Amino acid sequence: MKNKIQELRKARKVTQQELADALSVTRQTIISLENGKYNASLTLAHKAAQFFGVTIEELFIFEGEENL
Amino acid sequence: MEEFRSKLKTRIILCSILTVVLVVALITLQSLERRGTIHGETNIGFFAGGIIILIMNILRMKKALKDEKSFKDWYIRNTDERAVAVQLRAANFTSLFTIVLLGIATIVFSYINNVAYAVLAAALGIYMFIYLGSLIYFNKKM
Repeated sequence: MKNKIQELRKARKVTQQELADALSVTRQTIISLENGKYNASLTLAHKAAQFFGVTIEELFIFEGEENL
Repeated sequence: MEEFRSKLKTRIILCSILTVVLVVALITLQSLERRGTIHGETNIGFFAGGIIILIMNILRMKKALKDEKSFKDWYIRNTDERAVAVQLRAANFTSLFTIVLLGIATIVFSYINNVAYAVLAAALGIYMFIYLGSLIYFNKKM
């Protein structure tokens, strides 16, 4: 799932570590999220959306299941 | 986070109990060995390693309880969802891989050695029993 985490983080001049601390996750998780290698849980997605002041739908772009 | 703090306190207590058990076991086995009651050698390295690791963990956990920054680092390291997901996936893969390896080894040794075959078959049976039991348990729980 694509997301705008890196875009919004850079726009707000927040480092990966600062974002990780704010969301109570490791920096590695932020890196994996930004690279699209890991999909956040609903709780983490909600926390991230709250942090950036956007909705979950604005932050995460659901492209639909390719195997359906 | 407060729930995690009390979990950490529980872990410290459990690790302390385990440390005491290992120390008592080591002393008991060593004295029984010296008296000639049991034969063979106690693996001191195993016990010593276990005790050292437990003590180090207890000290780290106590430091985490006293210092807010250490506590937060410990909390994040233990609850980070990606880390938990990675561990679950690795454990799942390891379980299935172990079952397959045990199965292959059981079949191979059925042609070579009956005792080894029986031991491997028993190990495979117990492993499968625990694995399937866990699947059923967590299927009902979640």
